[in-house]
Amino acid sequence: MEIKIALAGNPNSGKTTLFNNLTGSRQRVGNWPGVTVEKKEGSLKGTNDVTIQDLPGIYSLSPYSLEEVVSRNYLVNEKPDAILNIVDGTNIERNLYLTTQLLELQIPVVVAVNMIDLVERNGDMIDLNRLAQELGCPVMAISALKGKGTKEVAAKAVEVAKKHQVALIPDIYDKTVVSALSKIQSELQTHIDDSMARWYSVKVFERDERIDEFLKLTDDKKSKIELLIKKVEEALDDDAESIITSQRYDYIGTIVQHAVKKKGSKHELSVSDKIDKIVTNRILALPIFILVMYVVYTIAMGGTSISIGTIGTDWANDVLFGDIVPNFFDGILTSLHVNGVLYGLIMDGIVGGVGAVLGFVPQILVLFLLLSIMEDVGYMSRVAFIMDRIFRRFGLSGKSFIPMLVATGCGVPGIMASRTIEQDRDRKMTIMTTGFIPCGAKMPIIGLFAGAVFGGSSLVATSAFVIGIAAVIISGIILKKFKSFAGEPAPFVMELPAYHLPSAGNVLRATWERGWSFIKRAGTVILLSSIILWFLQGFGFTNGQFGMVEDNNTSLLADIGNAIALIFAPLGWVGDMAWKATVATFTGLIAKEEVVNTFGVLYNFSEVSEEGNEIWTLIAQDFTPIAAYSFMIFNLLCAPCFAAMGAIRREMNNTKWTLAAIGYMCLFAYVSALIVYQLVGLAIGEVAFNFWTIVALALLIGVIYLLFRPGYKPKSEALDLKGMQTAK
Amino acid sequence: MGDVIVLIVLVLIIGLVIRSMYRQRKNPKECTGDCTTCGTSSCKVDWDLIRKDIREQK
Ligand SMILES: Nc1nc2c(ncn2[C@@H]2O[C@H](COP(=O)(O)OP(=O)(O)OP(=O)(O)O)[C@@H](O)[C@H]2O)c(=O)[nH]1
Ligand SMILES: [Mg+2]
Repeated sequence: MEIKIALAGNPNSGKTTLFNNLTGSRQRVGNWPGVTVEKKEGSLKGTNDVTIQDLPGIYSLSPYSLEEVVSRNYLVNEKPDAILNIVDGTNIERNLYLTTQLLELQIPVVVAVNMIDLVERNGDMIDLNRLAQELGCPVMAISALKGKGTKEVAAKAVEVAKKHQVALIPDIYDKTVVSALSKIQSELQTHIDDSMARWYSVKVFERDERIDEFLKLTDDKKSKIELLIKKVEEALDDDAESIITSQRYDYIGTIVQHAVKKKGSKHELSVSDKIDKIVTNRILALPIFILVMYVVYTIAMGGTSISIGTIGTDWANDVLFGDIVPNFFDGILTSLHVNGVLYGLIMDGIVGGVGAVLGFVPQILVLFLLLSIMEDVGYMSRVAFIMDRIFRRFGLSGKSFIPMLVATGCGVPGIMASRTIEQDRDRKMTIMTTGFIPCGAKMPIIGLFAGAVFGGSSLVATSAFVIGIAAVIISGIILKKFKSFAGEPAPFVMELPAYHLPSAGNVLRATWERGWSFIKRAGTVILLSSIILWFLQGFGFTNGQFGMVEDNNTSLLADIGNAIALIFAPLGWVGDMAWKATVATFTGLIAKEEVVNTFGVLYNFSEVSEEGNEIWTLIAQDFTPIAAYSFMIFNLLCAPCFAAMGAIRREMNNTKWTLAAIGYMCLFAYVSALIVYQLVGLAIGEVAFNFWTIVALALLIGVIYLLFRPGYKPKSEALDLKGMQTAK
Repeated sequence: MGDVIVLIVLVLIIGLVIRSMYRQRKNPKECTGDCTTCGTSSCKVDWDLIRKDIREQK
């Protein structure tokens, strides 16, 4: 017999951690709510007939959010054999709300009080026996993170599933409600199967429309029930839904009073609260965040003696891919007396191209490691909180920031994370702007230019991140003023998990996951395109004859590139770099690290790289700092890679919106790069005054106008506001 | 002779790369560490439908 066990619990209570522990799989664990947005399946380690389901975190079974609907549909319609309810032991009161609802489903439930390690450290006491007695179901303490008690709790869940041991219906409501519920129950009798009677009668009592539709009651019955509800409402002087909610809370209150003993008084500030007072401070929060990012980028990509990432990348570029690997292949190829063309293809094309990308692996790993630590410790959820405060002022919800945090690894899951945003307009806007955040694949671009042109400046690297965030905020303000996006931001409820020491497993897993996908792409897509690029740049017309060229500046690829490069001339892409930059921009659509790969191939041609960093020197010769910066901005902000575009299409589910999103990104990138190149270039005396200076100035004024114009106000909400003011 | 060997090895590698990329596209597993396969076939939830439902309810 196959057994299905569902993991249900509040957001951030550790469901996925337990899921990974029980199934040995490696789902993403995050220290902020909403990491799991769809259910995931795996089989319990050591068995082959027990399936475990990880569900999205929910606060209740009332369908207030998308995650709640997904979980509720699953639990009610597919009826797992048992529910393993994960309860955050440090926050029992709030977590038990869901528990009481789960118990009413009359599916066997086992309650796992998680984070028991933290509970013990805080010195709190939870009386598990008492809790089990009150709730009428097995209660066990576990630490999903440390793997304590997890096997036992899974075994217990399997046991109750096999015996179909359902909990007694907890004694939650007072007499008036209970008698009404049982009357409703008898009205429903013919419509539902007995085991779910309590759940349905409570839902009907709450006037849940969905259930109404599902039950298809006759009008006669409906009016009878309505009468019953009205009577209770009158007796208790409250509306039905609130009656149920408040009685649930009262019930939980008594249980907690009996079973939980907190050490220290409630008024005492915990360490977390003390830290939060500083890092989420209204004035200091943003500077602290930027400072933290600056330190992160300095360690990962800066040019200082603590920049571990750069030290690793320098070694990879100079020694590994500048010396060891080329010498290795050179040895083999020379001893085999290979033909010059083949030699060039392998050495300049493949080794040069793939090597240029792989050289950045150390910087990327260090960056991801630091970001994962920040996430696991709990700082990133504070950032979402801070961003919510900033975003809200411009009409964006902080919920939009979670996809952006995910996008620092890869834009595709970032764009997908926007699903949980309910309002269409906010979701569309989030999809349109998430691609601005520099993802892992864009890191080599930043690393290359920061290293080659700007002497390893951490400021340049940090600025790439700041530009991404600024692009999101500016776009948010501009777009919100258009009719299609106007409206109040959705409320964003997010509690801040307590800070905790990073867990090595989580951090290393997240780092490796992101790093590995990068390495894998280097061995597949990047390798193939190195070969294709090498051929493309090796052929062209010389004296009217098609054949191999000596100088790739005269290749067919260069001719095509130069023709298209005219579009980018106003951004300062001129001279020998113009076609290379253009080709790199287009290959960057395959995957963003292709940009670096392309430079690797194109700058390796006919150069015997004696010293490792040959490409870097050549790039530094070809790109003026301001042109390099304009190139960087354009490539960070323009259309994302094909995979991300595919994700945009899937999530938008509409061709027009997909094109609008991609078009908007390209336009935004072009305008930003133009303004920076022309105006900053003019200011620092690198670019002379010209026709495009005027265009850039006009565009800047245009952007400022779009930022500050009054914008569209939806009528109904404007009226509401007025109404509220007069009411005061 | 040497050319032939190197060519064969090269073609073999390219073949393997293409095959692995093709497989990955056709049959993406839960998470391969390669984000390009996320949300394709491993995603069974119809979010659009749910969204519509919620809106209707409000
Ligand atoms: N100290 C401690 N931390 C834990 C324990 N279990 C989980 N955590 C941490 O809690 C955080 C959230 O864990 P997740 O497993 O992602 O939580 P979730 O319930 O799946 O969250 P959503 O999918 O967003 O609903 C992570 O940072 C975990 O490391 C535990 O037993 N002890
Ligand atoms: Mg989860």
